[in-house]
Amino acid sequence: MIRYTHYKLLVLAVPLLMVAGCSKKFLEIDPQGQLTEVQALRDPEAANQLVGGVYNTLYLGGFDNSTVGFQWAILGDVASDDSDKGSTPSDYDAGGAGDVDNFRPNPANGIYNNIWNGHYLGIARANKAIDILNSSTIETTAKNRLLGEARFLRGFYYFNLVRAFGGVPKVVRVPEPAEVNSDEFQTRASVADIYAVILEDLQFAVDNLSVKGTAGTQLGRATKGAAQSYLAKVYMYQKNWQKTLELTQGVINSNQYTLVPNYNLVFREKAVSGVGGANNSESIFEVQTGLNVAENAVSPLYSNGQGPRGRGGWNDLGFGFNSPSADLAGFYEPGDTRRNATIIFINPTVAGRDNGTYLWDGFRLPSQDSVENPRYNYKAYHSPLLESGQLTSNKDTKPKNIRLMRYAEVLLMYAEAQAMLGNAAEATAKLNMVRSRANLPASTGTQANIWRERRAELAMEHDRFFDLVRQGRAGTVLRAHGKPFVDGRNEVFPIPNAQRDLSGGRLTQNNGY
Amino acid sequence: MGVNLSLFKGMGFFSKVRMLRVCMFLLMVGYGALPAMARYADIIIKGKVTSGTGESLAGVSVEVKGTTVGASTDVNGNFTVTADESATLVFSYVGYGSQEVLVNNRSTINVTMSTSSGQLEQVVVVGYGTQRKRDLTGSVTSVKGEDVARMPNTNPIASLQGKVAGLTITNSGNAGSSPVVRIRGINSTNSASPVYVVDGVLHDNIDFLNPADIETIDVLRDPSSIAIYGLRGANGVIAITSKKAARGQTRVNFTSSLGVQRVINRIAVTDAEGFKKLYAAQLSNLGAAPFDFTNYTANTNWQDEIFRDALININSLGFSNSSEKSTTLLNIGYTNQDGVLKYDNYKRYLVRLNEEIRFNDKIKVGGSITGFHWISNPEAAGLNNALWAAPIVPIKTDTGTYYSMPSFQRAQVGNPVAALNRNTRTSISKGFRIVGSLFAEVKFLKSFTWRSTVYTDLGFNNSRDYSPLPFAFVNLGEGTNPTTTTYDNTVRTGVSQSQSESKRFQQDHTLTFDKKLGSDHALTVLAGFTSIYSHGSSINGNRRDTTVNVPNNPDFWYLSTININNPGAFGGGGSESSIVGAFGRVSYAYKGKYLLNATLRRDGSSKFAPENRWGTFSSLGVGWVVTDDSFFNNVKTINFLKLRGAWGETGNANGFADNLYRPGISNASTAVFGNNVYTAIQASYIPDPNLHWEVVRGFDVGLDMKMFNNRLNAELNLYDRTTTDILTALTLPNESRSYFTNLGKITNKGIELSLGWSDKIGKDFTYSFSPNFSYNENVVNSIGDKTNFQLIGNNGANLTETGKSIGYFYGYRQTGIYQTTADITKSAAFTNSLPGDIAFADINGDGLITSADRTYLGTPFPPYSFGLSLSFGYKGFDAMFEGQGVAGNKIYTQRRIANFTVLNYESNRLNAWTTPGSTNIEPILDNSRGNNYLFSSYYLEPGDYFRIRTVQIGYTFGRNALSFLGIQKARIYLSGQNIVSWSQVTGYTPEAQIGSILGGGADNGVYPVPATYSFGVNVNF
Repeated sequence: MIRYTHYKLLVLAVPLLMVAGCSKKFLEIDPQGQLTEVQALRDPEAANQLVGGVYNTLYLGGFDNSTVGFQWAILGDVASDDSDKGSTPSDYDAGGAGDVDNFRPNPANGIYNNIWNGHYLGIARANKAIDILNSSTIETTAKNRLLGEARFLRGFYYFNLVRAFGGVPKVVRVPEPAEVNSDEFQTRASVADIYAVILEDLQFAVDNLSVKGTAGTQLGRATKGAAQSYLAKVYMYQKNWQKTLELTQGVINSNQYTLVPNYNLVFREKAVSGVGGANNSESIFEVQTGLNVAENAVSPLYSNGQGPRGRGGWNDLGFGFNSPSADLAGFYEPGDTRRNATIIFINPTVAGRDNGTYLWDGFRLPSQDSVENPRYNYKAYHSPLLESGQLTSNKDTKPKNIRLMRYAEVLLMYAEAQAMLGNAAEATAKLNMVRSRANLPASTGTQANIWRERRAELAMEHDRFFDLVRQGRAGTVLRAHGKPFVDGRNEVFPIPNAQRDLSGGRLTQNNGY
Repeated sequence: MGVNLSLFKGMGFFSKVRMLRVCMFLLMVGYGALPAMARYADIIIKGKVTSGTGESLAGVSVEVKGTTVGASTDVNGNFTVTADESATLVFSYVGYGSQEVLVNNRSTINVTMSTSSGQLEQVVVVGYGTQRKRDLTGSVTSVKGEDVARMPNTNPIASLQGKVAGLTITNSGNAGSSPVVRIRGINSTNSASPVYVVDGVLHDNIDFLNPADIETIDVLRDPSSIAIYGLRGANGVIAITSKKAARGQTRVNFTSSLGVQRVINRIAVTDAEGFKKLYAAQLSNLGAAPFDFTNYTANTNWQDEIFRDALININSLGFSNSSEKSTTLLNIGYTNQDGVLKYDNYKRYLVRLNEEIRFNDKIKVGGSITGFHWISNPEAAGLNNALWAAPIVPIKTDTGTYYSMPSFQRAQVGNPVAALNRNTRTSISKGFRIVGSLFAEVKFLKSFTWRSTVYTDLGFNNSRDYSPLPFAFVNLGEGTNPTTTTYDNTVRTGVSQSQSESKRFQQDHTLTFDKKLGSDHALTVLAGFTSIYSHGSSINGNRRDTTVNVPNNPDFWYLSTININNPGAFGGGGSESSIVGAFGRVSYAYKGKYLLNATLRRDGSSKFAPENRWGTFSSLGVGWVVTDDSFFNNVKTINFLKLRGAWGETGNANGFADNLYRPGISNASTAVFGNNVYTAIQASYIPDPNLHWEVVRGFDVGLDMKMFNNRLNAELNLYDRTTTDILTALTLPNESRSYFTNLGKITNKGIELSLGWSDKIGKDFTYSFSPNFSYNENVVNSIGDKTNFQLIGNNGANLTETGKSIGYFYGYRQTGIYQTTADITKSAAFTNSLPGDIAFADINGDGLITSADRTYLGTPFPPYSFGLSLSFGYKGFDAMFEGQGVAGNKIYTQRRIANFTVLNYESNRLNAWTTPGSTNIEPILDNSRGNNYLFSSYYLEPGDYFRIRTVQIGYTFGRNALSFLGIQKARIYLSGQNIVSWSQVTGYTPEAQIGSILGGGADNGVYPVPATYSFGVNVNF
């Protein structure tokens, strides 16, 4: 029996030893096909790519989570008097751009949630990049530059959010998992608190980024000039005219930017005799596009979503949204070259005559009976004939750079600041630089004139609605335009229902929604 | 073992598989060498086995208990077997209860098998072993293989629908697809699917099983039964035992069925006349100009165009042979199923070989290998497309030219037939899977059994797809626009290829001690060790041609056809994980009437951080066979009564991705600087270093009873099960990245009742009736102490929050329709509500309708389920009727809420509001009224249904009728499945869509579950 007992013991011992012997290593499995954060801490290129991931969020668009793409155009333009929803009457109407156009108070509308999510996705990536960069061991100059870029983008995104929604949750670091649901991250900070974040981020960027064209800069990356311009714009929204003046003065004095002589070349992809094109002399910050096989270095639907919509019979150019309004078409002074560079006009159909519209590249649009809307946004047009061909036939990914900040706007901000500080001569001088480029006679630099000029100069660049709210006359102007704008409500859009639900109701709704 | 340990030092994960093999090899060598030890005097025993009615039974298995020796009865019911004079013989036969008879030195033993003692003598899988159903203390229900084999379904689990209380199955009509299976409600926000254990191997997917090749399916439901499976078993276990060769016989079995499937419930949409009327009304409501329908003279029923009557053909051929020393079973299966949606098709080829060799009555070795090959031609068009397309458009002019939709939906809705024909047969999807096992079993010292098994499951899938050129489209003239024909010449051809492989290795080693101690104590002790290692990888690519078109011919559908400089995208990925566990079970019975079962398991998983990796799980069950107590002897109506209660605790790590406890970085595609495209990266999720498994605890109490001479069977279960530390994926607000963490607590409580009555009238007429019913109550007790987020599903239509059932429907409650402006003024309304809009309930009573007025509207998960089956037999004839249904849930008609453009109307819209008083249900035809497209009870319909699952009539030819053909037994049958349903559901199928946990219940183009009419044969040679 003793022998058998030994057997039993051995039998029991073997699996136990096996568990001990085999399992420890057996259960150590490293992630498959993934980089780790440790690499980003040591490797400058990994840190660089991490900040690249923040820039990547500039491409968020289409009908999905969005930053400055197609849906931002709906908020900036369609909500204003510059444009109408466009497309067919029922397309993207209720629950889509139609709600925005007509100020239907619908917090369930996906556009608001997409804008919210897209911007916070960008902010989250910026926070993570800043977090890793702060503990990174890479060389200081490169580190500060990358930090400056990440903070520039974070400030830029918060500026959009605060203008669209008012106070929003202040998330300026990577939250610990345990605190993600704390009130700190789930309730709205005040508008002033968010502006404080923006000012601090953009000031850091001004202090740490290099002037365009100097060492360490690269086309498409945020520069000192971009940071100064946006910081000036933020101060302008706060009516801090002195700061606006100093910062725009800094951009002007950097001598890095000049107006493109021909307005219609500003939005082209290719320069004509060295003039205009993408990243032209007046471009201060611009969403870059790249041609790659995946076609994921573009803001999807930006061009196609706003492109002329056919009624069959020809290969149309897009969905026809954000159609410039008749009011905008009638707004320009006679001889303003910007009118025909901003709006594609569809001609009425005349029996027995070819009354099509020929675009700058020779592309012919048929007359009105074959086209859905009377007007389209020329600034979003990407030529299928003379500009970069795509590698695929996916029209949603036309490689159109989005001009976010132009020197013309800096001049107008400078002019407005000078006007408000009582320096009419300087205001008039800069205003007339912009006017003379548009082939218009000189005018005087009053705030009212500068506001008019901003509309003409920046029309269909998704600034108008926010500018009207800043000017404090959104209600007056938009009601006159026939929109049911309610003062005290429609200055901001509703906090998306989905976000309020996620917060368990702690995110308060804006007034009137 | 020192050698062993040093062997593993410094090994990378690539050598894990090899190491595993080494471990297994050592174990096999170690135990294979154990000699057989004892010998006793053998005698030859003869006898005859008869049924209760005196008929001799052929093919009854006669096994010497505790050995591998056995025989089976011949045509006249006689058997001969050699066994020890003190051995116990076990007689078993499908449909009869097994019987144990002590040899007691007798050389002749005659046995009468009875159907009545049935079920409880049956053996069920209890995790790394089996147990008599009689001795169970947990809740396990068995379904016989023949009940699965007689159903013309490709997936065996589909046939369990309505048969087991507490088991909810939602079938899909999609050819070759697996059903959604839930056991006793939803216990987690993360995964709810049970694990399948096929002859000991753990699987998530059992596509490779031949329904005709299954002996039994056991459904393990309560925590005490599943605790021994450790981290994998928490959502319940479905254990499947494949057929083994019958003792002492050579048999050939052939089954075949041929059926036709048809969609009998179409979704009611408007025809051309109705559409024109409603669209004109809508335009008029919008104040828009009327649409010119002049050229749109067609009346196309798009559903008729995309559906078809589809064939289904299931065949199985089995050979089995068994002798003294070995048994062999070879099974071949072939299935060909067309989908009812054109031109969906699925073909399956199966081969399984099972071999067992008995060296002597102590040592046996064996193995099994299954080869599985499938070919699928997926459907080429979406179902919703056919519902949305305007019926006024004709289909096509010729094979290459189709009509496009009217301008108001041209950009959003394609011609459904064009989509179908363009994309059909442009995909070649194939897969191979090999599942194999090898085992060795040694009995020693009389009471000990050592068994080692190694398993592998290898899968290889690949597909090639072709993106063809488009068709030309005719745009019919509208107003002043003439009719034109267009062809999009910017569309280019493209091809894509993808391949994936998966490998899984499992080893189980168990030692069982099984002994009767004296006459009163029966003890079984099991100890074991198991490990599972899984690895998968995939690679895919596509390329588009910009110059030369790739022909529509599969010979060209490889990436190499297209020049390397053309655009394309390529990807690949991999995963690897492992689990190690040690387990034990003690089963003890005192005098056969007081029962005790206890299990213990220690598990480690690679998915968690080393300090959170290991856990211990246990269970305890007790039972009392009341009828075996002497005081019960006088109660004659009750033949058997067992009371049982069990408690168990286990962990759940199902469905969770690897490595979520540590940070990871993933591709964020691109950033462009200086006109160059650079790679960009991002942190992929927010890691939770403390991540651990979910903890599942629960009680189960029940009774099993037989009454009235065993004619009535009853089983009643009450359960209460709670999952805590639920693994939840949160999309953090203002973060947009996922965060996986342990949150919250969910309780499921319920009751299950199964009854069975079977009896005879006269000599020839038999009948049985077995209904079952179950009720499950689900409540989310909390979703975390610190993190009290609401979990949102399906864009906010579903909500999971503390105090309510999981994933409930959350929206506005319709109270009617605002009839007049005065109506709006005096009731709560949105600031922009207009007459004809849906009126909503003012839940918070503030006099306004805002998002705060959304409320609980129902649950997508049916709390009540019921099933019943009736069967009759008269001489050779048999008839069967099975029905099944659910109650208490709601279905969200999400297909109707779509408002991206003008879509065809479902018939309910014919009653839309027009003037005050016209309707109080259907809102006005005006798609600019956004409030009517908010999720509300208007879009919910009751999900209650009762469906006749199966009606089957069969005839079995007598033993002599076909003997001239060499046929021993043959049955032919006619069967109808899903032929009638009673429900208010307007979609193709009333079956609740429960696949999504947090966003369930939406009908957003659910594939129809068709009616199937089939003819089948089952022949034994």
